[in-house]
Amino acid sequence: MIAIVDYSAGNTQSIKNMLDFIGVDSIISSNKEDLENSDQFILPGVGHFNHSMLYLKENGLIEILSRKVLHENCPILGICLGMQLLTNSSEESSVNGLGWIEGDTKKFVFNSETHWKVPHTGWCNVDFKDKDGILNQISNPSEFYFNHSYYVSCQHEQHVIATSNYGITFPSVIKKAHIWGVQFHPEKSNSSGIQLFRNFIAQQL
Amino acid sequence: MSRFRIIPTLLLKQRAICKGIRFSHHTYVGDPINTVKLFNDLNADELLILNIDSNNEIKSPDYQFLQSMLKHTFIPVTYGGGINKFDHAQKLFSIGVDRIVLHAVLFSNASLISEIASVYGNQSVVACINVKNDGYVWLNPSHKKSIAVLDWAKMLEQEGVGEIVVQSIDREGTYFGLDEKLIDQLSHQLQIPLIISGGASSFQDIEKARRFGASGVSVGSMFMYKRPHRAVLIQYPDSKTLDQVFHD
Repeated sequence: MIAIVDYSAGNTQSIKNMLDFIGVDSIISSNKEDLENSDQFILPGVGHFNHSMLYLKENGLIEILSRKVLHENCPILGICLGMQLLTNSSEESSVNGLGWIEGDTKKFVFNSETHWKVPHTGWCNVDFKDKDGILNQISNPSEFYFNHSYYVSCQHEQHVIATSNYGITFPSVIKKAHIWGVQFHPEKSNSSGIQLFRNFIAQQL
Repeated sequence: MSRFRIIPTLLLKQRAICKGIRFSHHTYVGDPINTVKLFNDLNADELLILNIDSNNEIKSPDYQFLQSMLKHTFIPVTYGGGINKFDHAQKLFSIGVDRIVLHAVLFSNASLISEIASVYGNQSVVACINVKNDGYVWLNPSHKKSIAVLDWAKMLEQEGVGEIVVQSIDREGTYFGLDEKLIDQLSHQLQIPLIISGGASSFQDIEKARRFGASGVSVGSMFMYKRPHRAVLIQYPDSKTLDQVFHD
């Protein structure tokens, strides 16, 4: 069973709609028992870093997710903010992240004379370095839908699977073992997003 | 670099998609679930859905109906209409709306922006501004606010909105072209994306909007009617057409 982790600030239903369309069972939940009974996880991504980390902490979800992901090796996909939560810290927040992929979350800062507006919103090319895993059978490069003001900076180059460019080049897909993060919204990226979820589902234990 | 955003605007009135001219004379275009599905299958960049039932008619967004519209929509959706408290936004995000549009409530409670943004992030909160040719902000076509559009836009940016949609009341549904002067005036003063709406009649108009500094354009009639007789025909340019229009 796939659990879409409900931490009160995600667009959980969009992800469920896409998984329903693909035809796989999933559950939107923050209930410990539900998470215990799941073997794949999605951390959705519309929200504020601080609020989301605190919610996960205060509801005892970090403990159970850590066990499932780090000890039982269950695959997890962090989307947008969900990807950023995988890192050590964020400039959006004084609360630390999960720290499962070494790196930090930074804010886009551009000179006000440039045409780079923040947030970065819209369809943007994703260039793959590695086509295996969740990018399998998707053309390289492909456009995905982004909506974010912060981006991840990885400590280790080998964790960066794909990059995009918005004023600077930033990681748009990261991976460490069975832990995946995408900066874009596959659940809103139409056919490319559908294929990405199909690939993630195939990443079973 | 992200592509310039071309956003079909769907006006929702009594659970039907309609289209007007200068914010009035609304006529029926189609069934909402069907229309959304068509744009999804045409690979539209995203959708802007605005409920235009009068404030007396809507006490809160029509969640159940929106949820049925979104069930098979796999492109981004921004929704506005009847949102005047945090709970409305929360419920909309939970049913699959990506971003919410605040409008009328901003005149009495602009701090709702930061209330929502502190939980959902600035990128989730969009403000809509209606403007007439006089350069002032209008609540609706008959109610003028005594504030210039640039001042209002800057104030909303400061309050923390992640994007501004400016609708030209005088141009809506007219095919007169987008208001380039307005884009020029606003886009260079704002750090956040600006979406311009009202009057688009051709891809040349849309391309010009980009050149003047808009991040995207929201389009109604041009994607809903076949001219000259305004016969309903849902359409959206394919990527090949867009490449030709936007070749750099």
